[in-house]
Amino acid sequence: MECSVKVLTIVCILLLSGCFDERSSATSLKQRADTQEITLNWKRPTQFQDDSILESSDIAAYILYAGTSKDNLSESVRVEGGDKNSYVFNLSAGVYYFAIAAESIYGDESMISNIVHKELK
Amino acid sequence: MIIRAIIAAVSLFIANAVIAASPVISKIQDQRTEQNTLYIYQPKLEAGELVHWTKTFGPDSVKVNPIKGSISWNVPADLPSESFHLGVKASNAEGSDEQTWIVTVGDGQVLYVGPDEVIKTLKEGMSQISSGDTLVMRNGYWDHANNTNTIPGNAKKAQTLPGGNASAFTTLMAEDPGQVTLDGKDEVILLSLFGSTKHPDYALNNNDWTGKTDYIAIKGLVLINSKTEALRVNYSQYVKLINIGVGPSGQFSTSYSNLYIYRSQNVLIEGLYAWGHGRYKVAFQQSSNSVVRRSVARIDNYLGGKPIGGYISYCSKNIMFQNNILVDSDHPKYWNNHNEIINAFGVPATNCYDYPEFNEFKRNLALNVHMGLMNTDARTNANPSLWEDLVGWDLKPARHNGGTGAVTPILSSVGATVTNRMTLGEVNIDTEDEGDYFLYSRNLDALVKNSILYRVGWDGGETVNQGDLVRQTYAEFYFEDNNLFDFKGGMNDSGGCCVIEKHNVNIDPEFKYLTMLPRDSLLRSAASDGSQMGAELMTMRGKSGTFYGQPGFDDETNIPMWPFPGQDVAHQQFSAFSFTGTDRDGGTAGIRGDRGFAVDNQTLTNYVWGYLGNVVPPFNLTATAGNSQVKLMWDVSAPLEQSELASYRIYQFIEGVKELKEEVAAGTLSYDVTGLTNDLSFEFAVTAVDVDGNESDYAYPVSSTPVERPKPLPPILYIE
Repeated sequence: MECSVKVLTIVCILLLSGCFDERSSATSLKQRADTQEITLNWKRPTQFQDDSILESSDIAAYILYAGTSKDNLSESVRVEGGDKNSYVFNLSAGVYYFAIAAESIYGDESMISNIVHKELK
Repeated sequence: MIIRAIIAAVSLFIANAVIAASPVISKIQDQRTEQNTLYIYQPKLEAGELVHWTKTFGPDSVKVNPIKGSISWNVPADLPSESFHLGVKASNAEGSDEQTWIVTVGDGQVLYVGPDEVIKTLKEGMSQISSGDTLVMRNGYWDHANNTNTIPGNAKKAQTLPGGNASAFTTLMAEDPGQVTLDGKDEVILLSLFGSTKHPDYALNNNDWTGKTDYIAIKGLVLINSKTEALRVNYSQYVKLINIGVGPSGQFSTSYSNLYIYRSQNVLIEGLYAWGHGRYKVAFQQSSNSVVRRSVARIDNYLGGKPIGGYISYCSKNIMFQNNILVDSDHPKYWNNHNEIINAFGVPATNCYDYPEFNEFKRNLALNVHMGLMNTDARTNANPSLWEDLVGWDLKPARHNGGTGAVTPILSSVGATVTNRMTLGEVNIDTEDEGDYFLYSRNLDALVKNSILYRVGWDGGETVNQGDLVRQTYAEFYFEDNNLFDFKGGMNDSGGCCVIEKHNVNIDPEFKYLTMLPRDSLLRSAASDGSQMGAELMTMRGKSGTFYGQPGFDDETNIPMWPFPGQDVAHQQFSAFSFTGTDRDGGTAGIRGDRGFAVDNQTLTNYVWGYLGNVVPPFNLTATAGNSQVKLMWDVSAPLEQSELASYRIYQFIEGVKELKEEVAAGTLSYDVTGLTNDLSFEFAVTAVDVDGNESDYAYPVSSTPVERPKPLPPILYIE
């Protein structure tokens, strides 16, 4: 059930309910009748754990986690760039849970964020 | 181990060697932020190294990094627009410096008034601002007569602040908390909010005045010598009174309180300090759904003929009192003509039907007070007054009628009362009065449970028989799961109806501090259901800024109660007070304000913790994670304590047991615990040791997780 985000995900969507695509593939997927868009937005952290100030240039990437239950966020998408603040998934019907973490330019990944969910009918 | 000790000694030497100067913080300009934002500010030092940064002012959710001083505040999305005082202190072994500044949340106008501003008077400033704006009074002494800046009283034609609304408060504030003094010179009435919002259960009697004074916040002002109350709120709702000082009030009118709330709802009083002449320090009358939080008061003189007391809810309901202190109210001969004594914390009533009900007192302290602890007149057994974690220590109950009438009992339960976890210690009543008693129940039931009564009947050196513990007339008095220790009297007088005793014990509590039981005390689980007997005054109850009933308004915050917030400004004002005059016996000794906690070099925290003569622990202990290490920093002890101190001991908890890690000289205020494994949590505590080798307990343990390199905090995720 592995579904790397770096891989084209149309096949995944056909096979799995919990599989996710890159923004770049959204256009083509949009035309598919059985998928819908979910836009995730986030606010970047402004501090490190020790309360020191964190700029967007301190962040290498955001890691989005997703899955069909909040205890099993088995999929991940890496969004490069500290200035990014949204991402669009194209997904078929079902309930999806999402979370996000930030990765510093030193390669340290933050704790996971709050978990949000959405049901697609 | 030896090598590590040498390294520690060397680094200690280096640390001491580089402390060159007392800290000086660069002036911090007032700022603006908005809801749903992380506010961040990095203060700068002009002088001083190796400082410990701590917070002095600001909402509970404002955090200060102990090493860097960076301030962060997650401003909630639903926070109404309003201006706030934020403050930090930087300290090292050489001294300390503080800065406070204003952060305005939202886009309201901020207008400054003062001698060097375009707008010079408070009155003109009030006329210039609109609903939701902020009016800032520059620091200094404001003489009402010379500056024509008074708000003339509670007459409806008074110049008043425009009310705000649910999403934007109108704020009137001092430039810095405690640094604006408005003097009424006993000639005028100081601040008065005279609104037109009818209380649901009481008439609106304001001559058809239509002005609204709802959603107003007043912060950081010091109000002295008002002709009547220093601050009065009438027919208003959602009023915040934050870090306000109310001094001598009504000195020539004699029947006024220092702060008075009348027929109002949803009033929040936080960080109040009240002293000087006045009948009650804080009084609610025919009001409801309000909170008094984290305040300190002292009764000095009172010339009038009305009842006298501390924190009072009169004919009011749903009034919550959290973490308040009444202290050093020890000059009863200067209460010349009062009729009744309502005690430190009171819920009196006169013909107000089903009011009062559901008045609650949680984590309050009366210390060195010459009156009883509480007085309640709740009207039905179903709606009693509730007292929980209440400490009364060194009390001397007073008599009604200017000292000539009957003694008012310590707990005067005229109405229904539930008292849970009270600690009553070293209480003395006048042995010349036949039939004295400490606890009283009249027409409705009273319950005292999980409480400690220690040295009740204390004459200063030993306990003596000062009469019966309980007197009751028609109602039942339940006395359950209490520890009655070192008491020489009987339980109840012969004329009574029914004292019901259950599961009471007799165990020496071995108190070291008034604020908590010894950590290994048997009393921590001595009640029949395994719960604690006796009060704890260690953390704050109720999130700052919350009105009655709002989320978090009565939650455990885990925020230390000590050092007591705002204690320095209260000390400054209380110590400057003095009164010369004739007492009721013709004495002319007068009253000095610099007594008790307000003597030089003392702090309220050190006074309360040191009251039983034990070494006081250090406070503001912080732990900051580094790579394989944790930096511990703490505040210098109060000057009075300092002179007796030899060292501080640093402990690490290992599997729940504290083990001595290091001992440092009393001039050292930080310690780096090294050699720790990253990504594991470690817990530490620090004690103080005096020159005779006596060691304090620790106040608040801290924990921290060392990390190789700090990671980013996580983002916040939203979904459309």
